[in-house]
Amino acid sequence: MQKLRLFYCVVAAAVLIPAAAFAASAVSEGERLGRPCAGCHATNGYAPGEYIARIGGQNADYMTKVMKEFATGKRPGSVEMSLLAKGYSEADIAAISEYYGGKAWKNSTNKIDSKKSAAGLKLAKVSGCFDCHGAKGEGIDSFPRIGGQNSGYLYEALKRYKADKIASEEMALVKDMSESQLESLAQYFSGIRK
Amino acid sequence: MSITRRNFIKYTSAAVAGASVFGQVHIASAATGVIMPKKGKRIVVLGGGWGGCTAAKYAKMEDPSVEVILVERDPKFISCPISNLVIGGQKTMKDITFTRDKLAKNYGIKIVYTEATALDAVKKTLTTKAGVLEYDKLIVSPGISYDYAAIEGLDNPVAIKKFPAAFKAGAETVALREKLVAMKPGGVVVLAVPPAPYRCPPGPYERASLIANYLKKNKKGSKIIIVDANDDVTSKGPLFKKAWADYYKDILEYIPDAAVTKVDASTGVITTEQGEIKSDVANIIPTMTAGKSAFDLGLMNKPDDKFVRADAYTLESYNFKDVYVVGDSTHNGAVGGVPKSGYIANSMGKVAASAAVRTLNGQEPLAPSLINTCYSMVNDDEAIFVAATYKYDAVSKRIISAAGGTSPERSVLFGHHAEDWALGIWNDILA
Repeated sequence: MQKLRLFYCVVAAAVLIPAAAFAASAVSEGERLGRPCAGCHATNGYAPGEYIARIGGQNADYMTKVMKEFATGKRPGSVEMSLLAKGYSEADIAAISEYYGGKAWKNSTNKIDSKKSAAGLKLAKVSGCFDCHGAKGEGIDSFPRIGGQNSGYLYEALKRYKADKIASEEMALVKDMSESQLESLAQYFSGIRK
Repeated sequence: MSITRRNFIKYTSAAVAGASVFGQVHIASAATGVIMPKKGKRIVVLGGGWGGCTAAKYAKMEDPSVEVILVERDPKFISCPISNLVIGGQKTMKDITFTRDKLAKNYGIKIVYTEATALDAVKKTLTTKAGVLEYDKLIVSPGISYDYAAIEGLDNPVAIKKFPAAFKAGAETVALREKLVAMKPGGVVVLAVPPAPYRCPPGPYERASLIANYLKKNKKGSKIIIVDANDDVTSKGPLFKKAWADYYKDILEYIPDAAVTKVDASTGVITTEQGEIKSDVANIIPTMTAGKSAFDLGLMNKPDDKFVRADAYTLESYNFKDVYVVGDSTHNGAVGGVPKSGYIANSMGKVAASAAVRTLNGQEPLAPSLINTCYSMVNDDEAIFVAATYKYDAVSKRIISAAGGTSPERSVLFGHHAEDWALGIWNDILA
């Protein structure tokens, strides 16, 4: 009986090992190029700070669009990314976006000001944010996920839309908002934890 | 710090005890003294800093079936990036001191706290004070060593204590901070920048900015003089000079082409190629070489080499097959023009880990892709930075920059990015 068990183990090992050897090191082009991004955005793109964006589980189409805009100077407000994105081809950008887009999303752990968040929710309702970004800010089509994104990053991005540093018809509505209102929106969406 | 020191002693004695036990095993089994006998595929990583921890983690992420053993001397991980903020008073040692526990817990990496003493690249064994480790692939991340002997009067315990280099974060960092705090107002601080290449090109200039910031607020009438062995600021020059002119006009003086030739620990006099300066506190950063273990293990390729030559595609060392090298100890002439930064060590750790795992599994290694960003604080809130991407160039067979540049100006937002960068990369290295 014991000999038979050993026999099965050997057979199983013989079958499994070559498969494991091949499956073990399957690194996509997006992963090869995307691994160094984790030096700022953290492993799997789950950036733990406030001002660097979470990219793990972000909408891949949106990331591709934004990375191309960084590379062509259309989003100069993000200075680091404008420099770095130029180092990648369009195919590279699509591959990196697919790699991080394929990760499960994990919500921000930033501390949220509940008063500002409540004001942000009211403002989001009247401004129609949910129409494009979804009921929980999860993103629809090429509109990005903003629910559970890091708060400082959201606030800085909103200020850039307001200052016309990012061209966007959809986001033109924030031009009439005060910085305090933008901060409230950022606090609300960052604080979505479900 | 007393706690850190106590832990250090505790762990050290444990390591010594372990070594003596293994020593007995060594005698009993006569030939090998092998500890943790190798059963399947194994990668040993020597050096648990930025490059080594990253390599260990990413090897395990790429193929969890490979056994990964990390060999490191110091049970604490103390981050060199951000340590200038401890010297400047914005952060404490606690903020930059971590354990490697999550590498063991989250990835099953085995960590042995000991020192390596010899390498047999034919038998594929790494001898340590705790016993002999067999490997299929060895990744070494030796960091840097100081060449104290290059400066007259520096290569003795009294002078080393008097003029802490503080380019290995830890006790040296604390020593320099304490000297600044203890200095009387009106004192003179000298900061000596070593000749390139050295660890963290903008590091000395960031430190000078933060010391100037501290003196301005806390030590009226004091001054910091940068004596630079190089002919100009080696990184982010215009940005640093603008910040110095705007904030530290009467506090910070910059002297290029002023390599330190001699120091006097009894008088504090620092002799440079441009003359003598009487210092109250002096941060003498000596010429740097690859970490001592790189020399001890026979990784130097040519007699006068100070850094380790490795293939730019895989980071496999020129000297030994299946031995890879990452981080500050790599030779720029061989791997290409990458800075000796924490971020590059992190990127290199991923490149070497992938090359080691793939070749271990009979697969071709993949082309390296690297990134560097490096932030420098110029005061409590504002930072400047350099950012670049790197790729393999098949013509020159070196890693070359694909794109990059510096921040156009300093800003508070970049200061926030600096802080969050550290959080992100510490996560990528240790969690």
